[in-house]
Amino acid sequence: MIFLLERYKKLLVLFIVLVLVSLSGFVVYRFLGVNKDSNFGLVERALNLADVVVALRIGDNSIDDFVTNNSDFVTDGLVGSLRAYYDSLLALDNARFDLTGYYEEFYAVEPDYSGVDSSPVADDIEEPIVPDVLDSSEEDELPPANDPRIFTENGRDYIMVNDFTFVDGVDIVAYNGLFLVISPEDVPVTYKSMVEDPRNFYVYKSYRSALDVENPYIDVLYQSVLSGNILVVRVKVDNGKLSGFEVI
Amino acid sequence: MGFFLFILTIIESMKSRIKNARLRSEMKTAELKKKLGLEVDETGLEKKASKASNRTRVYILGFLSAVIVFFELLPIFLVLIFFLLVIILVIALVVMILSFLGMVKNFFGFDKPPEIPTPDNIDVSKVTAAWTEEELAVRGIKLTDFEKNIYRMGIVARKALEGYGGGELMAIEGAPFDLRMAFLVGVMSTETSMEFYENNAQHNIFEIPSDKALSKKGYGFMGISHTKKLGDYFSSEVVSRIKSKYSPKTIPPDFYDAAYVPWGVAMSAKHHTNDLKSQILKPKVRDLAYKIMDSYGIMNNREELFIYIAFFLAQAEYHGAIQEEYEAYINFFCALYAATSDNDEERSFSRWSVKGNYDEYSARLAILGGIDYRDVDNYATPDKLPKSTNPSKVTLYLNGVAIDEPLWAFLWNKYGHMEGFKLAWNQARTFGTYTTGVHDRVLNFHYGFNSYLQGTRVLQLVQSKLIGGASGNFKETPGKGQGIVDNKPTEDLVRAWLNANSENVKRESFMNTLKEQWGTSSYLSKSDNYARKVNYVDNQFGVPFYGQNTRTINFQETYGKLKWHWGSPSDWTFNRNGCMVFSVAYTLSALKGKLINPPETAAIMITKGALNHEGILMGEMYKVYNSMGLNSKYLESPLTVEGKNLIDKVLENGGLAVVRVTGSDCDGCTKKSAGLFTSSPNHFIVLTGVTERDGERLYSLYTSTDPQKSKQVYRWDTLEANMHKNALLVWEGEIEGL
Repeated sequence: MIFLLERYKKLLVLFIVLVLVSLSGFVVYRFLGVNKDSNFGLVERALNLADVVVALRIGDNSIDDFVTNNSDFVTDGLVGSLRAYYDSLLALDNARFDLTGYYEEFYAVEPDYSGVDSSPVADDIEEPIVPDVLDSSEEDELPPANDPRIFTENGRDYIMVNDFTFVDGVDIVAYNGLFLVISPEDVPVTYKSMVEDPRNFYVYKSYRSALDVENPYIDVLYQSVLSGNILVVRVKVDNGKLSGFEVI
Repeated sequence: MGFFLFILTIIESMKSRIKNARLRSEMKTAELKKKLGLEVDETGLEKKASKASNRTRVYILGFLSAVIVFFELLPIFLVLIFFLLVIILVIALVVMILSFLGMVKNFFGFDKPPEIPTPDNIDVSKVTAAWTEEELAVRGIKLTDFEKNIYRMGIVARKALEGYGGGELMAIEGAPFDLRMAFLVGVMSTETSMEFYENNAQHNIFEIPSDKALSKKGYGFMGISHTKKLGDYFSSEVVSRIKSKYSPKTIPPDFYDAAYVPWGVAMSAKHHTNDLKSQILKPKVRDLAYKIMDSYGIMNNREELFIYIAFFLAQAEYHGAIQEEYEAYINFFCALYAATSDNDEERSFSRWSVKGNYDEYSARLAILGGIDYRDVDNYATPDKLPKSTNPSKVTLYLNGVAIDEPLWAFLWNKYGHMEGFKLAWNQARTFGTYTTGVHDRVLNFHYGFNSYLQGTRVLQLVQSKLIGGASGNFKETPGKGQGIVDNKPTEDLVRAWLNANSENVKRESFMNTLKEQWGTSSYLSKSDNYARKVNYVDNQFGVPFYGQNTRTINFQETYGKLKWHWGSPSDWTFNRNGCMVFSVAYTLSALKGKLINPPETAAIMITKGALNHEGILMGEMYKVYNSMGLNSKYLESPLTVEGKNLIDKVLENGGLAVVRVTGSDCDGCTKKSAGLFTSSPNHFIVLTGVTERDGERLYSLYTSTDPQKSKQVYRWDTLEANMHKNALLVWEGEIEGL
């Protein structure tokens, strides 16, 4: 036996190393959760649900298809949540822009320019005041009339957000003698603007599951191609079925 | 050993059997003797029986041989088992490694997101459009409706060239994809004046078929006959693949397949492909082309030139050319190519470019001059072709220089002595008089050339706007300049200036204080910023708000309290009176698309002699702009009709106007509503654009002291009431009349 051990020593060492590596791999595999998501069907359905939710945000309503194709796996509560979420998105279209508040915050008080002087011009020449040939009339031009889209309620002026038309990223609103440049960032989000905003074009990135916790869930991660923003749809799981979701 | 013992065991076993048999025989003999009463040697028999019965020995030998054989074969078994285990373990390891990669997701939550191009991490110089629906969805906001349709056409052109799974179309070995795209998209120029709909309406071409009237009886959109069906060009599988991807939402009563752009483009690509295969990509055509290349002294890049010739011929075929005419066409194409440079190695069609309208009819004025194309036979030689009376519609450029005569005349003056070029002109004339069939074959000479120029141009325009655009690439690079002045980085410019003489070198410390602030922006770092609070966004150029203010801390740049000059008084800081530097910084940033902030701008102005410790030197400002590849014009009287017209012209052409406005208390300023932008006698602001709303022209502007004011637009009369003295016009490229 001894001579046999001598003869095959190297092979034996290699064999032992392989066994140890295999054992350690198995330990990692078994105890650190490589194969945690054994419930593949559940994850797949959660991803499908998250896709439906994200699609809703860009105007693509496929709730009925999802419910039909997954009727055995979704709860009534989930269907209700989906429809309620869609309704909440539609309700955003009732948003209005508080023009009075905006004006009072930014334009009602004239800025104080004290402390700021002219840049000195070293080679300035004293030029005669140029006759104002462009403004021969002594009368001031009438100030612009308020934008017709404005409506008043309880003494405050509003514009329905969906009445804005942003050309090259801005809309111009005549108000209190000024031409205000309003950008989408100034106004509340509506469903229409969500659908039209390319920043809401999200692509699937990954998911993570927490199925062994008291309230199991699967987080599905999306990323905006344009802004890089992350959108997470948390799909709740109850007894192996999808029971709800929230957009984080 | 084991084998030997095994054999020994067998031998002993056989010996034992033989002895036993012999013993049994002797015992039978002894029994018979007993029965017969004869004497028997009982003792001898017992001894023999004892000898014959050597089973113990056999068993021991058998056992020993078995043990020895076992141990002798054991290593072989072990080796076999070992290798089997190794194979199993290796497979298991591979599986586990793969699993482990997947395990990262569970360990850390998410995969590492792949690099996604965003406006912040795009290197504009390296990016080309992908021509995909996704790209249009995320970046299309920068495009006009027309440009979106051009982009959509680019999408279906790409897909058509890729063949919808039926094999690549318009494929010539060595032909770049962009070139194939340009020729395909460029067909639009000749066939429908780059218009998708009547009166240039802009519906979504993926949804609504073109309503362009048939240009000629029998032909339709993209030059494809209205009688042709997708199925005439493609197999049923490819047709269903195309239709599953693209189908019109509405079908007008007089609908034909080619009128729906995705289908028309695909059919056109296939039509080209058929012509290329059946007529052009033939040895005899190549031989002819090479022979003609010889006559023009074209020895380099002949294969590349042949690609162009093939596409030019394909589009001539598209318009009814026949092989007998090829020699004349190729002579024209070779002349076009040879004219691009006297150095054969430097010749390239990319040296040709076009400006003006997008339609072939306008281009024809630059090619044939101011005549009806049917009248070419009236001109024995093309050098007599009259210039168009409306040459501004389309201008051809060669190496950046406008061609000031009809293209045929230009080429005739170079190559009119060559028989081949004479043949070309005579053919153009001859076919120009045809009264039957296609009588305007003079078009065949420049159909492909026009497609190439217009297609390249329109795709590049959309691509650059989509990827680069006016929003620029504004990133912070603290301590590092972003300007390129006299073809050198600002750092090098300043270093050279400091070393220029003993006076300058004294300014090193001051220059270093500026340099530390180069590439910074409170707006971008989000450390400020009042401009962010009011949602200030520069929709014209995307320049971050450079803020100037002495009171509100959250309004200021980090360099606000620094001096913009090296002398006294000490309170001449960026915040106090740096508005001109802020304004110049805005113009440089806007037109160069980089964060060239006020401290870097001040350094540039100083090196160019436009800023010193006494203030700005307006008379030297042109040096600043010229050194950065920009143009400027000092306008003494912006408040005249001429002055306003010049400002309007510059703004309408993407330029800017730095103007001086005044406060209400300025000496001699009695204008109504003065003081809108400042309370001091002078303040510099920048007019950034002009737009129309309900028939009113409204001007946008940047004023460094006020993001809210910068977020409004103004009538001219409001600006006029605040403006005085002079203005500085700044623009890039050429503006006619300036």
